[in-house]
Amino acid sequence: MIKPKHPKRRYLAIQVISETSFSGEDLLKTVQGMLLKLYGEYGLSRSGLRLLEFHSVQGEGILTCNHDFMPQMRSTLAAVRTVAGKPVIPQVLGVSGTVKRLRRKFMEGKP
Amino acid sequence: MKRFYADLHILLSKLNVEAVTSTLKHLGFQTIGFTVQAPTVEDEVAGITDHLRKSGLGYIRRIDLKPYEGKHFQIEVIRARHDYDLLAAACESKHDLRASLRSGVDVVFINMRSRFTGVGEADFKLMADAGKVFEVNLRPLTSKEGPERAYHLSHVSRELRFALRFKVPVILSSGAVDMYDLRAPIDMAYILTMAGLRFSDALKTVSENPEALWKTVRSRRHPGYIMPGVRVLGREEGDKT
Repeated sequence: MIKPKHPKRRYLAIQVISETSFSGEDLLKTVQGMLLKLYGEYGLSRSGLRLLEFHSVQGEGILTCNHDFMPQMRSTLAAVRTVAGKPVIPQVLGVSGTVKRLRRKFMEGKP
Repeated sequence: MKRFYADLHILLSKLNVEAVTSTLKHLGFQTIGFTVQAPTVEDEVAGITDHLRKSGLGYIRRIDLKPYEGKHFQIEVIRARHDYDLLAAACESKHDLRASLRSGVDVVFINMRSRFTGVGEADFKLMADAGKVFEVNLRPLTSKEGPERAYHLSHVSRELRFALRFKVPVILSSGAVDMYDLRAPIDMAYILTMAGLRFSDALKTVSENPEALWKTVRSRRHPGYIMPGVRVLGREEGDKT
């Protein structure tokens, strides 16, 4: 019997520019809502979306998704305009296949 | 080599210029095209250009014209050419589009307020023959919701398909009125992939195509400029022409 392969994941370092701070939960809910609007329930189920961490003060965090869903995830993030009713500019700082490399490349020197 | 990124459609005012320019620099843009709106006073425009010069961002002055049939529009375009670097036509109907293709504007786009969706295959063929650039604005794609966004995406997708077929250069601009309408250039390109464009083609709309337009506009600033590809490099002694 062939053992099914573990799905590859992509880790996205994100920054959300806003004048006010908000929690990671708010951000995740907004991204999930936008994903649902753009790609539907099937898309959300295929995405494997998770928020690994989010620092509300700096507005930076790490999102993860299935590697074949990465382009859709990036377009979803770019389409987000508000989080918890406050206007935001979401930006993807970089993408990597491991959290370790993501931190080294895009979040170096940041807590 | 670092990629060149430009957003050639931003509506700046004295109130938002500082926030918008710092955000644009943070997002990685090198050049912007700021639209001068009709009631803007010349002093305000001078203030904006002064701020842009200090910020280190490259800029071009752009005006959005409302095209109409007749000689007067051609005259308006010729007059605007003296004051602005980039002339764009905001089309709201097929007549507007055809009038703009016959004129000397550089960029053609569909006004986001209008419900005009009938840009067809023949229009793009004419656009290619006239050497115009087609512009897609990001703002309606992100600000519209539900079925309205779905219809808009479907129209943009159709237009992009025709543009690719007839090799009409497409530029993607934010059409931003405040800093929260801005997105990083790569994120903008990813939004266009929702309209069925491959990422490599989408990236050209924020990088290579605006760069080519920027170069054309800059070449016009050369004192010896006559027409695209023709300019006076020097004069012989005794030549009085």
